[in-house]
Amino acid sequence: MIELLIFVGALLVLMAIGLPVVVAIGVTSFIALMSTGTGGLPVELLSLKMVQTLNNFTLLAIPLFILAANIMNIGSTTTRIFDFATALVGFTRGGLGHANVVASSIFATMSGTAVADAAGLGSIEIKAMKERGYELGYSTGITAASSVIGPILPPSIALVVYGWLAHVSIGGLFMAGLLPGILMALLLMSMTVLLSATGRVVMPKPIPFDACEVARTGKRAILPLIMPAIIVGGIWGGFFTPTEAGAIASLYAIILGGLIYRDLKWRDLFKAFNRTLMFSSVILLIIAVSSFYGWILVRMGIPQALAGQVASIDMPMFVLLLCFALFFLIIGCFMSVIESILIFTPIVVPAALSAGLDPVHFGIVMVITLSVGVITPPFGTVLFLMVSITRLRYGQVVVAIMPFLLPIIATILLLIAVPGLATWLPDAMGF
Amino acid sequence: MDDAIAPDKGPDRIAFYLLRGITRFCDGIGVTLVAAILLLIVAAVVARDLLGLGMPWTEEVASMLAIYAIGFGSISAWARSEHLVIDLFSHSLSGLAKSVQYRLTALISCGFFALAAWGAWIMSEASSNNTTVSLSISFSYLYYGVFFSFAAMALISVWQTLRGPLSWLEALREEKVDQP
Repeated sequence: MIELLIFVGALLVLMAIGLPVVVAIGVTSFIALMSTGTGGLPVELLSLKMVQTLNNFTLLAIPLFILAANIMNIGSTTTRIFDFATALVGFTRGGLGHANVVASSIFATMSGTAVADAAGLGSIEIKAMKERGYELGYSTGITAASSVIGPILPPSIALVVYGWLAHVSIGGLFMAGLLPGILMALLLMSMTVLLSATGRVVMPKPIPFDACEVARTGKRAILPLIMPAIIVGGIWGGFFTPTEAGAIASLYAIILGGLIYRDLKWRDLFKAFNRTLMFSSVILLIIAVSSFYGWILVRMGIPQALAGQVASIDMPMFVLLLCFALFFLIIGCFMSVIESILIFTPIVVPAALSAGLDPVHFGIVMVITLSVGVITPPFGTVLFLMVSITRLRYGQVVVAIMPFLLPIIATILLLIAVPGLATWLPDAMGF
Repeated sequence: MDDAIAPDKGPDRIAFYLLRGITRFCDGIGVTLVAAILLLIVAAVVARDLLGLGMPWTEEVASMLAIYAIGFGSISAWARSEHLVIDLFSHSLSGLAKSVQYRLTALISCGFFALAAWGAWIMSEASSNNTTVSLSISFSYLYYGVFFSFAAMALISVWQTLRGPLSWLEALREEKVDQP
């Protein structure tokens, strides 16, 4: 345990002094390698582990799903989805709040991160809600909170990384995220109903239901709406792997924007590719260096020791998972989802497995709890995005999001109490 | 960096145009590689599912191209100061403290990248006879990608250590491409 404290402590100190995460992980690994007493510093091990990691077809799913989301964020795809969601549920009280959640859920089945959702749909949703007379605080809160569905519903970048590290079927994890994602969407919508019913938020008069409008906007959005079916159906049907699904989704997004809607210019396409390159390079370099870190952890026997400790604890499974969830909630406040998964999966998964937890269930709990960090201070990336979209002060955005943390926490508690929410669907679908 | 104003004269002006050239070159190559990966994978799916032709070598080539794409992307991201940082206090530093913190992190980064590049070079020489399964490509080529990436980032870090924080580098960071 002392080694673990030194190892994680050194990493946190190096990150705290402002070193880039990739360098902090690499330097910590080198220090640990020297301390294991091999009589020198075999620097070539880093490259060996990096190439073993990056020479991996599964991880290519990350840039490809990011590319699909980036392409869809250009042009009219997001507007079409939001218009359809508005026509579908906008007739209820707080209708645009519901439409916000529905649109984010639909977009989540095409992209893989919370920030992609908030960046793509966020400005459209907040602008529309402002025009219809919704309170800016409420609009900001629901927009930010609904983006958390992004990393849960398939495809999810976080689940790809977890599945790869924990040796769990990525297709199975994608299916496992479906029900918790839908549950979270329903609970967020329930919070809107509650806020409206108690008078805490004054909702504007709803728009009357118009079946013709549903049909019209549905027709405009039908092609983007097919994409989730292509991704999930393709993987489930065995037509392609998750990585190939990412490529097909990207190609589909290019065809939609470039040939059918004709709102994707060459310059925009280059920008989308460039954004993908930047983000993927940063993330994949961290993943590659982290594989070295994970290897040293195992060599030092840290996960094995921790697994032994956890297995010896006489604690109900529910309480143990609750402790893990609390730990991840705190970690998520300070580190991004991917970084946290990379650093903690090699440490905690063996412990969780030795305690009898299901790796799929544990993975979904881990990803959801860490994802909450995107909307919690001090480093929530979606918080900063909301500040730039709404021009509200940082503190105002934090306060606006607070009520929506309740349904998200409720989702986590339900998921912990009822493992079947995560495990039933992949089991039923044969993953 | 296109919108940033170049320094008037001296070595900073040369560094400005050099860094701009590096980021543009790396972006161009990286984007081309990502596009090539996309096309390869789509071609493999179409060939397999529609034409019944297996193209297993595409996985090998796509993974190899990805290593180079990540390498070029990482260099560009490093020049732009785009790599993920948990900024607890450095944003609130000013003057000497900021300069010391910046140079210290650049120096540590430089040391790490130099060691990593050295390791990649050793592995490239040691792996020349190891080849991939389908196309028999030497693993040395994979390690060259890692080596060039780390070596270039080490060089940029050396310059950052010597020069310290600069206002036009901050502008370069502000014009960063948005992350999804």
